[in-house]
Amino acid sequence: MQPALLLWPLLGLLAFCVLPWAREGRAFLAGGPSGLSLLETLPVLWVPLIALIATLGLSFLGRAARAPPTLIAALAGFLVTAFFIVFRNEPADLGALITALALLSVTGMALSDTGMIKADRFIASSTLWVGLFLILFVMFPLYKVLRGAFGETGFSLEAFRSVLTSPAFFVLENETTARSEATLALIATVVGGVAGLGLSLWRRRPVWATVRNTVLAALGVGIFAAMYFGFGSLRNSVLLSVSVAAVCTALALGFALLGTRSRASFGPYLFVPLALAGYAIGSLASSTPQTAGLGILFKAAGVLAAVGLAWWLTRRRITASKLLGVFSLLPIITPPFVIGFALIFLLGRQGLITKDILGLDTDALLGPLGVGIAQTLAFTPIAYLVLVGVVKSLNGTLEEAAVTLGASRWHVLKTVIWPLVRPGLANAFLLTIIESLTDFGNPFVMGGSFLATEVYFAVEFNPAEASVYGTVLLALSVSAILAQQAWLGRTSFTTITGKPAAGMVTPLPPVLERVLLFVFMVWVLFVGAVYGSMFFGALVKLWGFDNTFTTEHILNLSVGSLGVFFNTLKIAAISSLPVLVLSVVIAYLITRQKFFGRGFIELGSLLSFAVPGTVIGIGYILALNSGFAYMTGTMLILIVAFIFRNMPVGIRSAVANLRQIDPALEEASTTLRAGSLTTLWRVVMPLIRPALISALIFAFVRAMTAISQIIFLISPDHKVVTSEVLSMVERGQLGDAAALSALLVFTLAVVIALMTWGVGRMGGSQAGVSV
Amino acid sequence: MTATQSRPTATPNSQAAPVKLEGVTKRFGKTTAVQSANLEVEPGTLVTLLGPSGCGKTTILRMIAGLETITEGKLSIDHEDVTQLSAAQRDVTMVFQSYALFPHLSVLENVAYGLRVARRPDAAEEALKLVGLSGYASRAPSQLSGGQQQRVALARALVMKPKVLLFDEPLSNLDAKLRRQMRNEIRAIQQNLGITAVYVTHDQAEALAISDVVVVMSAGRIEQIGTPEDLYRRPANAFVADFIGEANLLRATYDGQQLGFGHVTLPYTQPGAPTGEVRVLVRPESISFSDTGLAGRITSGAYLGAMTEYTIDTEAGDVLIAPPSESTILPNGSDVHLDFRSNGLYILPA
Repeated sequence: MQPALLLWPLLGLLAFCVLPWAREGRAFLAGGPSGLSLLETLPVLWVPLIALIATLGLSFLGRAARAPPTLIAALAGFLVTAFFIVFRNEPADLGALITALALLSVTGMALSDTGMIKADRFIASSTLWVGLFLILFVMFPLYKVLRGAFGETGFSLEAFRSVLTSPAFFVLENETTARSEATLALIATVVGGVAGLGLSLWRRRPVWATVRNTVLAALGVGIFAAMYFGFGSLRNSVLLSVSVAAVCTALALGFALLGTRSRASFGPYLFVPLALAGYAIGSLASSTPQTAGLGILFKAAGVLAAVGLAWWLTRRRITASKLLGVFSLLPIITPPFVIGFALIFLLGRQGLITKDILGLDTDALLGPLGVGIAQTLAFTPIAYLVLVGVVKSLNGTLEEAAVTLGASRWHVLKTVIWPLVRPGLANAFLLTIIESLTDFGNPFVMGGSFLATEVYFAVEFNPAEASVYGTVLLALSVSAILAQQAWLGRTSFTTITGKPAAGMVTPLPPVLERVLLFVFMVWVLFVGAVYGSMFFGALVKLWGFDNTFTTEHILNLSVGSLGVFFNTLKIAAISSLPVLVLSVVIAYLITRQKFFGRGFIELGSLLSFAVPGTVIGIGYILALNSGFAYMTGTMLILIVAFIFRNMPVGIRSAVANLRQIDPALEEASTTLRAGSLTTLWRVVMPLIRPALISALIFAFVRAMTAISQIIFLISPDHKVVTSEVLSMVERGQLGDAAALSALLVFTLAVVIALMTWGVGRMGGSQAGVSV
Repeated sequence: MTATQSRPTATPNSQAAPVKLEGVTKRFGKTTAVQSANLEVEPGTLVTLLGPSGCGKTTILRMIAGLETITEGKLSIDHEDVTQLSAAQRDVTMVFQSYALFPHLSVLENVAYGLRVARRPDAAEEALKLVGLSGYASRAPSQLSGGQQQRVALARALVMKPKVLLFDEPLSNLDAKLRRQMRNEIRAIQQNLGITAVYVTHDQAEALAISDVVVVMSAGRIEQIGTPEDLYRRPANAFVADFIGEANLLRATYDGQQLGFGHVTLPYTQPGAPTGEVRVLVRPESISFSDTGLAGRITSGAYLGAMTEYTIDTEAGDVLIAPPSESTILPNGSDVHLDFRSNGLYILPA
């Protein structure tokens, strides 16, 4: 007799007899009828009840005698419950769900007991659970998106046709322009083909390679030209994401090289940014009526203090790598569109740069250009996090070997470092392309027609159109991933091992180092201006018009924003623990176990990597807005959306950590008669604890800063900070929006600092957040 | 005469159990790691699986542990068919090559890990005493030397009082001197407890020193099962002869009474040996320089301290010999004659 075999049927019985099975409206546990009270009208429910009682009774028998009848009873009970829930098509309550899950657990355990599968009870049951969750919350919503796009009743391409031919989506030939865009694109195609052919002939490539290169070059240049000359949201999104990704990746590579190889002091480069900051603080302090006459004094004091700080940092020989650590954390704690909205303070009609420095009266710097700048600021650090890992893992002995063979620093960079970081570059490029494609907030704040915003505008009026946009986004992100896989599949980088790299890395060429330091200085200046303007925006009456100091926006927070803020904290906290559990279990299943259904779980988790947040959002609103899983408008739908959105990052981090643990440790535990649950709990979890805490923080922070996947899911009762900031920006309450954003960023910075400190105190080797 | 008679054998205790493999095959996809292996391990004996890397010895060990599933065939422990049981359900423990000590647990917690899982009264202290580490209970594994870590791993496996104790190259991470010491300790503990043990190594000297029975494997197949002396003196084939110790495999003719190496003949009888053109195993220590005998020319010589190793080109093939070092080393090209001790010869089966 095993406690688990008693526990699950008992729990199921409890859920069957006491908890409600159906809901009247959207609220859970609101006193609907229990399974027991439904028995009279729905005799089919005798099946799960009998199954629960039977499995309970069977658990007192020996394993061999118990397993087959338990399996049959539990499976029958589960299937009947599941069919009942799905085909009754009314909102189901927790009683039905818990009964189903209990029967599923018993099924898994019995399956393992019969020996039909080579997995112990925990593995078998958790596989079934994870599979069910992936079907419900990843595959079902995706299916609904595709179904929406291809026709709700019967297969139809009508929605596709109407969207794809709409000028808002893409149009090449614009009648109102004098030139012919189609002709230009055709010319570009021919030029591309000729260039490809010429290059192949010049390099004397074989015939098939020549043909392939010619076609590829013609297609590539042709598509690019069509995008460049064309119009519409597809064109805007593709051009934006490709250029943002290229800039981000290039900057990130530069910064990664600086972070790992620069020994030069960054202090001298800090005088200008710090002095400007000091000046700004001084002028803010002198803007109140009481301090009006002291402007010069305050500004001078600010500049002097800043210069003093810069001098001190120079004396301490601070390197760029120290600052890069902070810099890589900033975007994680900032919703991307907050950067976009802070840019309004700099580049808007009343913006610091537009009006005060350039003396222009225009908002042309917003729009697509502004979106590009905001995304570059937001996503470069993400690319940096990828690349700094790659650059750090380069084996120094390779560079030493190159130097001893007479290579110069430039030559080492070109022939050793560059080829080895290329896979990392592809990875960073891909990540930023997807982030940019699916970024909803920045285009929304700054304007311009992009795929992610078209989805938002379509979802209210025409769900089919939104589904088509979602499908296009999904197709773009999946093809980006496939392209990367195809490219990386041919590249091997076996020199990058998990072993600590020995040997000294070569320093950067001095010229390159100085250029990179200068670029980084400009970057620091810009990021500082963005965050500074957000904090200043919260502290002045109306940025650009009335720059006097006020606490009005901060006091306004308590009028409602504070409630939303705490609500968001609660949702983020509740959702982060399931992320942790699911990530660890899935990572453990796919890295360490061989069992039936592993392929399915791998596919499901892979799919959740590839799906853009916006698409998840549409999927949820299509799938969970009616029927048994009616959840829209509840807090639960937000929590579920966060769980399945943040799970991929958790899985990735857990898998990476598990790969570094010698499987012999788990085998030792197994041969000492521990089951996989015990092994997971007592051996695996303690060993990857720092990574788990990082994943927990990350899930929490991402839930706090998310926008694209939940913009469709919020309801008046359950708003979140990010959507609140967005609607404030929409209403023109920039000061309030700035105050709320500042509160969010500040809180998350404190949370991360505390947790990092806590992990460090616990002896965790790996502080901070790893992506 | 077998090797077991020359060693003190322990009487099997109540825990000791026989292990039996019948036609056990393991395939990973299309590659066959182990091809229908048959093996019987007597209770209370130490059996070594020996072979070059990739020969399937570790796979057999892991199948006995339950860490790999068996593709075909049957495995029984203590007369009970355990083929379908998982590792956690088998009464078998294992000492891992990397020791696999849990880094987040203390030495005592490591040893008590299995006990706590099985909720049996605490015997971890006793097991630590058995391996001579009773003062180290509260240390972290990382604070111990390699040899001490090995002892903790051994104590952790012993404390479960398993029916079979498995060793996966347990000494390969230790230096030569420590390896010899640990080898003797493992053997002593195994014999005192009278426990059945299966031991995997690729070091033939270790296998000969520690085992009651050695199983030589190559490319997924068992080449020979026998006592250490059997394997050294009477190898089943050229692979075993070559893998165990240094071997000279020479071309010769045999007619039942006389063994001929080129122009030299010796009186020799070996019941059941093939006649005609044969291959003869001659261990280097059975060959000495003499004034007559098989003629040859030295092609290389290497001074090894206690002895000097020469390779000599003869009519019967290249011969390696290792006589005790003398003050002068014979130069390459010297002409020498070789004499064979007849009890150091063995005609390989056809």
